[in-house]
Amino acid sequence: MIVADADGLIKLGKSGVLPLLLSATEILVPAAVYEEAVRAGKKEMHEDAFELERTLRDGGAEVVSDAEGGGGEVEELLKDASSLGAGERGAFRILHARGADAVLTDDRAFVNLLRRTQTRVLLPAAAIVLLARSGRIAAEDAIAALGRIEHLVRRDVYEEARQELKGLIGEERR
Amino acid sequence: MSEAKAGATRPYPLRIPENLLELAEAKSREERTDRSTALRQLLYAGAEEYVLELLSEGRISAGRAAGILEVSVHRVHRIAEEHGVEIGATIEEYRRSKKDVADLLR
Repeated sequence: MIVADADGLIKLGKSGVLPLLLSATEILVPAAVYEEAVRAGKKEMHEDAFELERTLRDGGAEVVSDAEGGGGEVEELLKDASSLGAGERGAFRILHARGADAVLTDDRAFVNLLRRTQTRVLLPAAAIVLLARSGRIAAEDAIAALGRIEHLVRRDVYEEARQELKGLIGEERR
Repeated sequence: MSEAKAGATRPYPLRIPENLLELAEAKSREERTDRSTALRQLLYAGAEEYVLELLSEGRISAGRAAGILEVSVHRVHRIAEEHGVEIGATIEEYRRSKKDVADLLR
């Protein structure tokens, strides 16, 4: 079970591999994240937001109420996290309330908090590579997916992921 | 940095350098708007740059950046792209992510 934030959802949605992740594992979308990634994006007429709405609905992602989660230690940790927005805060609460396995995000500030709490993080570029490694997507298609988010990830991350996927093409041909 | 109410404004006493006022005057004439609006636009452009810097360094999240600029996270991504600012987790986090969650996507 993976909790997503808006940054992770938008990037993986744009890459085109979000449906594959949805078929591989359960994805929880906090209501505040849904607001940021889908509703706010639709208000500004970003085509990706409409596509994301369809993908999440068709893939059976669960949108979780903001009323769920929080309290005690979680709120204590969030008290000092003024660098985060409502969506990341919602994702952090749901992560703990549901005991999720990891968080889908590519947000450096959020990753910092998650690491401090020993939480596993699924970055979009890593998701693409792992989906290719598991055979859920052909390496060539994975390279195309990575290319669609090239401008949204760091250059060195893009290059390393691309190299690994190229290596997988060689293995697939053998 | 506390969360400000969206769209809220408040008066603030500020001494503005003459050259910036002249710039705002020129901008307002060219864009057929008033000088205060032109000044706010210049202030916002500077804020946008600074927010992107904070985002790139991991000092604020994309959600927080969107909240400050009163735009969507989609728009934050697009602004970063337009400015050529690198965002996202670091290469070290990428390597760690692949190791940490490999079992979830076997």
